[in-house]
Amino acid sequence: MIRYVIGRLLMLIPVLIAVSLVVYFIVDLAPGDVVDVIAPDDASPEDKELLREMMGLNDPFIVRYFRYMQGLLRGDLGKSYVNNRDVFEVYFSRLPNTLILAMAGIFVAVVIAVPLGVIGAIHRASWKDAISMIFGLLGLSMPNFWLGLLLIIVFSLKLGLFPSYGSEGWSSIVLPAITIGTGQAALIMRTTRSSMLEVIRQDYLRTARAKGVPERTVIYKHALRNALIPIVTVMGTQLGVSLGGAVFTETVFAWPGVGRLVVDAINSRDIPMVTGCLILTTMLASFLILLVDIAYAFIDPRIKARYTK
Amino acid sequence: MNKTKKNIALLLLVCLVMTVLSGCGQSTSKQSEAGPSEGPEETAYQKTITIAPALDFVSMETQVTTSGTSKTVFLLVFNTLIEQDTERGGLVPSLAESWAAISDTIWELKLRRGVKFHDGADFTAEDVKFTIERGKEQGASKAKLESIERVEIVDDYTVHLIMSKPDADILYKLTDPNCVILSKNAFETLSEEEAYKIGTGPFTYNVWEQGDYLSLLRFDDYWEGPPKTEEIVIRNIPEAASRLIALQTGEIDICISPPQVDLHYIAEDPNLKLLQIPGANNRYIGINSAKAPFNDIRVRQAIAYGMNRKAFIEAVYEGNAAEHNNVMHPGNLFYKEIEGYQYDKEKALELLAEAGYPNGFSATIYSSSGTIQKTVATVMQAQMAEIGIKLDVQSLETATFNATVAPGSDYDMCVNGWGGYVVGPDNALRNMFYTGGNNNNFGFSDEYVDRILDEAVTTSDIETRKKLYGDVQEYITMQAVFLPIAIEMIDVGIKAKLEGFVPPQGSIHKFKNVCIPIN
Amino acid sequence: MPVIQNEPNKIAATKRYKKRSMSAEVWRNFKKSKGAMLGIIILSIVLSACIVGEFIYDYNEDIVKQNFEERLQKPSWMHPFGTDQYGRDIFARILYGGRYSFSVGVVAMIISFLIGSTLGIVAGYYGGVIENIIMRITDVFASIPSVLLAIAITAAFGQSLLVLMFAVGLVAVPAFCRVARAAVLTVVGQEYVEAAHAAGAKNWQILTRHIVPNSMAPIIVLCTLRVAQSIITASGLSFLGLGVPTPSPEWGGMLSDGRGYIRDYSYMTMFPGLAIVITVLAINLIGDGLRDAMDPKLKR
Repeated sequence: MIRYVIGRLLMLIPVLIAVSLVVYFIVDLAPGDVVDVIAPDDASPEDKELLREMMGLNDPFIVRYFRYMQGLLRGDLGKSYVNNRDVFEVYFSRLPNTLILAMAGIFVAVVIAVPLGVIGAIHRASWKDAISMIFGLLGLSMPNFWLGLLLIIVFSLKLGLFPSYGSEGWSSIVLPAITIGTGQAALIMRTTRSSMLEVIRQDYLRTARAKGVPERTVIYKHALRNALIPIVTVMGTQLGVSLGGAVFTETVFAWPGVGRLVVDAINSRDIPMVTGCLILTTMLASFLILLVDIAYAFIDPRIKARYTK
Repeated sequence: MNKTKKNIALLLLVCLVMTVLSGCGQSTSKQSEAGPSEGPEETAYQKTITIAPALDFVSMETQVTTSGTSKTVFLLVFNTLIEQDTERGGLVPSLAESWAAISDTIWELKLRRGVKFHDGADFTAEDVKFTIERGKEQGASKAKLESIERVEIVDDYTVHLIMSKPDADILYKLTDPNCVILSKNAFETLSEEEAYKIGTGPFTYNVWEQGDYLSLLRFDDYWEGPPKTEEIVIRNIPEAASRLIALQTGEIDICISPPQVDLHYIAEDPNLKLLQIPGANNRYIGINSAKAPFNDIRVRQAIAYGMNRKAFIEAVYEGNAAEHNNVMHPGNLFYKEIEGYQYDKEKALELLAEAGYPNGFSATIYSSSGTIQKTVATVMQAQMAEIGIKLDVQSLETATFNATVAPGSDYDMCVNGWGGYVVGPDNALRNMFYTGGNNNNFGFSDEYVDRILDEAVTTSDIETRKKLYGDVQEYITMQAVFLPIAIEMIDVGIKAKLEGFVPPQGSIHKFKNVCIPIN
Repeated sequence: MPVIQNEPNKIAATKRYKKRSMSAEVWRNFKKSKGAMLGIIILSIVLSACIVGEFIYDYNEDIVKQNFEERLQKPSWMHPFGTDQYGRDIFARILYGGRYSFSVGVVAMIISFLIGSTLGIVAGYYGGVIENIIMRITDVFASIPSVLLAIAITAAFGQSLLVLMFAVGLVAVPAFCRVARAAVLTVVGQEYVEAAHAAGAKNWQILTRHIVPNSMAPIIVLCTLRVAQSIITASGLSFLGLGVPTPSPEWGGMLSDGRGYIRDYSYMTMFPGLAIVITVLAINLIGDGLRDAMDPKLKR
């Protein structure tokens, strides 16, 4: 088991290097550079050239990338081109917000999705199934930013129930979490439904029913518990996805998360910031998936057996 | 045209009256000299004022960044040597108590005594010398301080600015937030990051959560007396609709640039007040005259005649902007009222036919991805289609846009804006239209323009200068490389009870006196 | 790798027959799903409306021409969905704009399908070093958050319909690659494949005759769902100003352009928004119906 974990961690290293190369390359490919963003209106072309020279932007791509990698190997993610702040520090000042939002989103998603999935599975191919499916898919089928704006208008402007922006206090998280959670509900609902469908026809449930256990208990206590493993797995991967992918929600609600940070950095060609943030995000997401896998291995003896031999 | 001018004048008047009425501006120093513990009569003030600008605060590096919101903050944390009085016009003392030209190339500045930095150190001539000489080498301040060759310290509170060439605009340049005075001592003893936090201004940096908010705390030893507001918070709310909602729900106190179409919500709300200030930005369509077919002036004229400004004002600004026909900003001292190009479709078609394009042609118009820029491009596209010119719209984000339309590049047309008049008339025209000027991305080179601009900057007689600048701005406008559309408004929604709001300097707001009395 | 051996006695010769019966069975299951049927009905209505729009509207006259006398009009008989800030009829733009949204969704899906499933099938079939290389590259792209990757790509290549399709398509390549590989792995071990090997069939013959047709089910499901997801992602990119260039009436672009007017003129966002929701929901319902119908584990 330990060997498996170490193996997975070692495998992460080439992936991270490749991620840095790909990201650095794509951002570098974009026309314009950071000087086009930060140079004042009245700077002369010579001034801009000088600035590029000072920042080392005139060196060929390979030279710049290797210089960046040298820093990276020492654990230095570099400093932002735009404001000279430490990338690592900025990233970790934003990360808690992202984590909180991601977890709140998953919570909302589970609350919506699991009951819908169970209903769908019990009443497979009936109208109840179709309706629960439609509800579950609605969030996924709706552009996130639009839902966010509608929620703000109804719940914070018209009803005055929740703040429209910001990351302070429990109430400010409600609307963003609903926005993200409804989008993620679909996948969890699907998994719950198919996982339940498999479990529901197992013999031990038939036995339980035969013994006169009430249907509710059969479903929620016996069936759902056994259908849980794939659901938890999906939750884990979803959490990983929302580490960087909540850009639209973050913009609408002025939620100071990582996604928005990266988008701003892409727009200002702040290559160290973009690359650094994506390396860290990749690392975290991979750890998360690793954790899920380990948990999975502990729960499922078949997988455990494969890695302990 | 006349009406346009009147509109601007009227608006200026309105905002002047409002600021005078709110009356917190000038009296601050007197009141606070009396001290806050004077007696029970003393008005209490809201502890924190929250401001949401359109763009985020991005950097503390005063001499490097060009971000408008960062510069707005610098005016709170630091002081410049000289300030612009945006209410009455003209220059007023700040860290420099007085200034005088000893010769064409030497300015003597008398500095204020008893000014403290946030770390408790005294402000002296050393700091001025350090700041200016450092600033000559830094990205953003360089362009402003370039004409100063060196700074000579006469005594602790007197400096001489030794200029490399006469520069009529230098005093204006010193009012720019990129030229705020830094602490020499701090830069010698602290890391650069920490040293950039030490200023002489009325507020000190407290917490900066990048992308979320920046909190500033009152500096009790401020030389004008401590401000009435204890804390100013700059909030990042990127989506305009959300920003306005936050103002309406009372979560913020000042909302800059709410959505144009929703301005009436502020006007209708008795708790809020809408301020509309003619901004520095002259929105225009730029044409690359170095490139065919735009090297033919008839083609450019046709485009100019094909533009219906009314439609722009409606669709882009919901009526909240003044039509404009001149390359010069009306706020400039040397502005001249001219006719410019007026919408005339027939004439446009005629000119195109004359130039050999009876069936029009295709071209690309670039804009940045901002809502206004994109909308301008979309309206332009439709208007040009009317005269047979098929435009392709490319909306790029800032970096790509700036690189695409940089001087010497190969674009056709672009949606752009220019607010450079704030630092003097020469700056306003030379950067844009002088052969090889820093912002001359029109590929424009005209011997007459170059000659007149050179003549005007070295002339000291104001009437002659007025004549020269008047002629040249009309001439340039008629060259149709810079097709002005409108002077944009700076829209600000504030709490009705808020006092001390003064008009911004260009696009940079001056918030140091804002306060909200309670009870 | 666990192999599902549900039909142990099949040999290659009888495969054709079996396939037909399988698709018939899938169709039978599919028909039972009320959600999927609803999806098909909705999607056909939307598609036929868009096709009609194609014939009755002229691009220059009805779709992009600005008319400032008629700007910001609320829905009426003249303009069933109202007009936008340029005085353009929103109903016409939505009907006409369907082609953009659908083509973004479909083309992006095809891009990721072609690249992703080819790589996945090759990886699953050949295994070994090839598999390792392909899957590690897949890992790299999968680990960059897909929205951010799409944003970076559109920033790099500029704003156009093609770039948008490419960016949205590329980010889904890892998903196709993984699903295709997994599907192939379940087929490779089957006895009929071994039989074909023994009969001396060449690799490509086995691939095209046995492996690909038999591992298609999960890929088809993914294709459907990706069309839906691509439309949503594209609308998000429009929100950030990276979508289809103006004045093309792509739904996501209309929705995002109208958001400045959301308070007083909510119909400007309501109708493009509903167009997206209804269409994407329908496609998702079909996808889920297909998944259900094709899932071998759920056979009764």
